[in-house]
Amino acid sequence: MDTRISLKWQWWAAASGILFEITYAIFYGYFGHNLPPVSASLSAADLASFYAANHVSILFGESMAAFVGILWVPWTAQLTAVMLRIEGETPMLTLVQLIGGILTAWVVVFCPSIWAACAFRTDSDANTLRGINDLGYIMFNITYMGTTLQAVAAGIVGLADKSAQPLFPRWVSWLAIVAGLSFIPITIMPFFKSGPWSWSGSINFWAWFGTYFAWITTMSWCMTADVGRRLSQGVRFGRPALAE
Amino acid sequence: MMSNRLSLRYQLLSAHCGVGFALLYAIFWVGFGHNLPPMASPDLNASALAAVYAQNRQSILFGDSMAALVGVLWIPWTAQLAVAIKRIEGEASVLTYINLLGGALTAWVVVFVPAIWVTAAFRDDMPPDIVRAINDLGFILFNLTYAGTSLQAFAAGAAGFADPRAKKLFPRWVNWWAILTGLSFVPITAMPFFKTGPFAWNGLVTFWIGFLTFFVWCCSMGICMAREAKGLLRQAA
Repeated sequence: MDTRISLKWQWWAAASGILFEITYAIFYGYFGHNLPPVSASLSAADLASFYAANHVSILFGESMAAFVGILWVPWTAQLTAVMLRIEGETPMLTLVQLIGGILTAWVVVFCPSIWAACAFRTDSDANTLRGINDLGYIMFNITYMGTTLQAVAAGIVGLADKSAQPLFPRWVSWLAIVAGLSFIPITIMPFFKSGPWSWSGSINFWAWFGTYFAWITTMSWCMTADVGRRLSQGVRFGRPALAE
Repeated sequence: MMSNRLSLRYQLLSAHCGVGFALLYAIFWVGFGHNLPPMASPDLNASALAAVYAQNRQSILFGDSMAALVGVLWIPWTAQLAVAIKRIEGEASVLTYINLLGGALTAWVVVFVPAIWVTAAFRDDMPPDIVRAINDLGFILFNLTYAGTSLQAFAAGAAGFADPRAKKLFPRWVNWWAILTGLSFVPITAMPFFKTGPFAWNGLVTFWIGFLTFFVWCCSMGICMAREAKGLLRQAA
């Protein structure tokens, strides 16, 4: 395949990390009424009236979130391509990252669909609705370990990059590792229905979305810059840039 | 290392999984699962929906259990698509990985969602409201998450167009069809707003057009990949 075409695809794949953050914040966060999410401490009747009051907005936001969440796939694909370059043969960490990325893509696409199912009808049984809403938030949160593995694997490989111009600055790699590890306390989330450790809490929601977004922004930015450099080298020398 | 001929035989088998998937999924999910179009219509009330499950319990249990089994044919087909477009893409193969990731998510849909409908059909003493909620969950997860499949189709089509070899993997119309398939799913994002009409999960756009493009896509690319693998096997002989 022509190197310039490949690099253009790679640029979009690298940029889709940042695109993911922006569009997911708009659709899942804003339209889905998740800034922060609805509290886990609501009674079934109160939760049903929350869904009834915001029916159209939630349905729209979560349907769109299931759509834009897929941007996680090209982003992970580009991370795979650059990590493979660093790791070489026997790319164990790259594969860990890839599998973690598949599981993360599942979470960011399929959980919004679960909430869309909650908002689908206005005459749902309130207890059933709360059961499915719980299912969505618990699957969204306590399955973070795939994302943790993805981030930590990317950070370790980033630190191992000994080329003259490393893909990721050391602090970006460390940030990925810290972001990945920061999710670990989410494992205790199911024990809390209110307070900082609940799914709408200051720690479990705000702090970990902060580290998550900081990781995506920095690695996405570095990968975009890397592809941009390769593209411009090709143009300057009047020949296709080297793929590897 | 594994012999080239043996590897090519596995590749041929994996390529055939495209047509195999389409046929078997049509038999079990569509036929036995009562999905032509889905009988569990979104506009039924809870007791009417529970009655659909009650009257067709054995058939739905059998069809969706088998669909969860044969759906996994999506995995070897995706693996072969990854191998075939990697040959086009060369080293920095981002489209190959997009196809692989999109394929893994599609495999989830075609395997796990039938298991959700099996759950809806599992007991005959479940409150109708709960049967309906689980049935909704299944159809919404099945449809609204099409974007992984769209990306897989786009990646395959884009790689097909970029094929520089004299003997191309896919004819142009197959690449165009893959792109068209990915695009044909986009209106499904509006599906949750409809309980009747073309956009409902048993409607013209979401069910009939979506499944037609999908099956033609996986059969056409599967047949082309099988042809390529056969050609390579002859060369290796």
